[in-house]
Amino acid sequence: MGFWSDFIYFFSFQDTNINNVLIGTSVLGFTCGIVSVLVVLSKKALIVDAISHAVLPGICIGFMFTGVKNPIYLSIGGMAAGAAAVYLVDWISRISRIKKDASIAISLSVLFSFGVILLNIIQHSGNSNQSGLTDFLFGKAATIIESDLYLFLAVFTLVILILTVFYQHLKIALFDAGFAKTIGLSERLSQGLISGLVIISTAVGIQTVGIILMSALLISPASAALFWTNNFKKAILISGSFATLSSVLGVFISFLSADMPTGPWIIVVLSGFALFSAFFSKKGIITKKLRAKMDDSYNLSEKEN
Amino acid sequence: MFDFWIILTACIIAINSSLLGSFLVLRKMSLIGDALSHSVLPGIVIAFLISGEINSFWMLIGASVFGVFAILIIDWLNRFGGFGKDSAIGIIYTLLFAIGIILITSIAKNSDIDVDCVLFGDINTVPLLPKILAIPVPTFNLFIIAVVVILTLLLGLKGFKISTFDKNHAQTLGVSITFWNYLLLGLASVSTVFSFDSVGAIMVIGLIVIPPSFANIITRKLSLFLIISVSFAVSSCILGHCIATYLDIPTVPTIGFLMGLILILTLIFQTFNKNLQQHS
Repeated sequence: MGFWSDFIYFFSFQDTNINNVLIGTSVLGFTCGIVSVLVVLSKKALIVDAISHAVLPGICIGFMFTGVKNPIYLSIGGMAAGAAAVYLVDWISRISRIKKDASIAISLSVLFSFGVILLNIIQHSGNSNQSGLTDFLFGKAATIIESDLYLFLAVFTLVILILTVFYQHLKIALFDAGFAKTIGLSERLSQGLISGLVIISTAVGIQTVGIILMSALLISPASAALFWTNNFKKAILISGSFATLSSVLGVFISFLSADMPTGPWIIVVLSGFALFSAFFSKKGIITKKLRAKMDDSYNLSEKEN
Repeated sequence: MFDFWIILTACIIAINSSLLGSFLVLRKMSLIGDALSHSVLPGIVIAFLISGEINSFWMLIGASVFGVFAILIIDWLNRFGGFGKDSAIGIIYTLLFAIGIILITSIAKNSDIDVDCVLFGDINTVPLLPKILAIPVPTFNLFIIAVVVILTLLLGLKGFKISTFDKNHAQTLGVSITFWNYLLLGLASVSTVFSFDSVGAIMVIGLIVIPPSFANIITRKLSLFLIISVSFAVSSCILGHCIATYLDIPTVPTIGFLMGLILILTLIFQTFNKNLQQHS
């Protein structure tokens, strides 16, 4: 099969398995793209890293309690562990001299190490259900099935719902913290909401790109989008679209060649969008330089006249 | 003898990482450790593809350039590209790590590098590897790096100290902050690359950040800081390996978990003590 026949086969949506993967990754991509805007604007980019690594022990504990690989139980375990990570980072930097960045790195490596130990214990426990648990490390987009989609859609709806209900609150808190304080908006509520949304989307999102690369899915889309607009609503839509588009392209690339992993390709495409935006958007480096040059030559020609 | 090589390798890695980590943590650059440990992956894979073996000394030195390169890009994007520092780190290290994983699963798929050992390392195979002067190759390489790191730190202690604690004073004296900064980052990058196939990406972060943070809550004197940091790391490695062998769980994550557990328990104890003092 040549490239174009592959292309047509892929985008004519005739293969149910491919459709499941495509819908799954797109929905998750869009969800993470939306949350990403909150993450980048509230400068929480690196706590995402601690949360995503912490999800591993959560998933393991979820599996140990239930003995089955039901995505709902695993996600609940992951969310609980993510919340624990947020608390740990906060606690360490609050009660000691240790800086926030160090406490992020500490929490990340401790919780991940704990996860790896649990994973090892599960692997040696003889439970035949356990195979595939390691897939969470680098994502398992290719194995998304129809029943997973309901969970993804539920999370998507939940995120949209929270965002709509608290839209004004979040917008004011993110763009004008001083004003938010003056009119008495609770900072704890907005911080809690953002952390909550990050935890929910991380616990589910790791199914496509995996634990290690998850933070990119929550940082890159909004970083790219914010180069194109300053409007909150537009940023959310652009960010979601970037993430969805990257997911589709990532799945397509791994469909073209069996050796190509889906998750890492999604991230490479997504980072490509972010870097492209940094260079060529309205606010981009190269655009600015070009404009400065054009202004210069304009001024020169004016002087000559 | 088998356990001896494992513990020795872990200890040398612990010494390198905790010494360099001390200065990184004091400079509030902890997350550079995070960025480095992930970004060097493509460098290592490319070095492997060219030389065909995972422990070739000069190839790994070449791979270290990748770490410094990543940090330069992060710095550049942060300063001129309009990214926040957090976002720049988050985008670049995941991109490089993703490229590394793609290389491993596609071009290098028939090799000994596998995706799992990228994260956890493979320290238990160290004693089985070929030997130089009766020392396993990774241990031998790490030993050379340790000598370089310790000598550089001893000779340049003044420079590192002054550029870490008092930047204004350093500038007045004409000490180049950039020079010491990149010397530190270069050493950290080399040490990370050489530690990578033994302990994996996540553990390198742990060894860079946790021992210095432990020292940080105990003391404020630099010499004591370095001593506590190194001895904490080394004793955690020895104890961690013993616990791991006893419980039959993997060594590397046990060390990481143990270090974190001690740190967290110390913090709880300290707060408890403080509360007690306040009440009496």
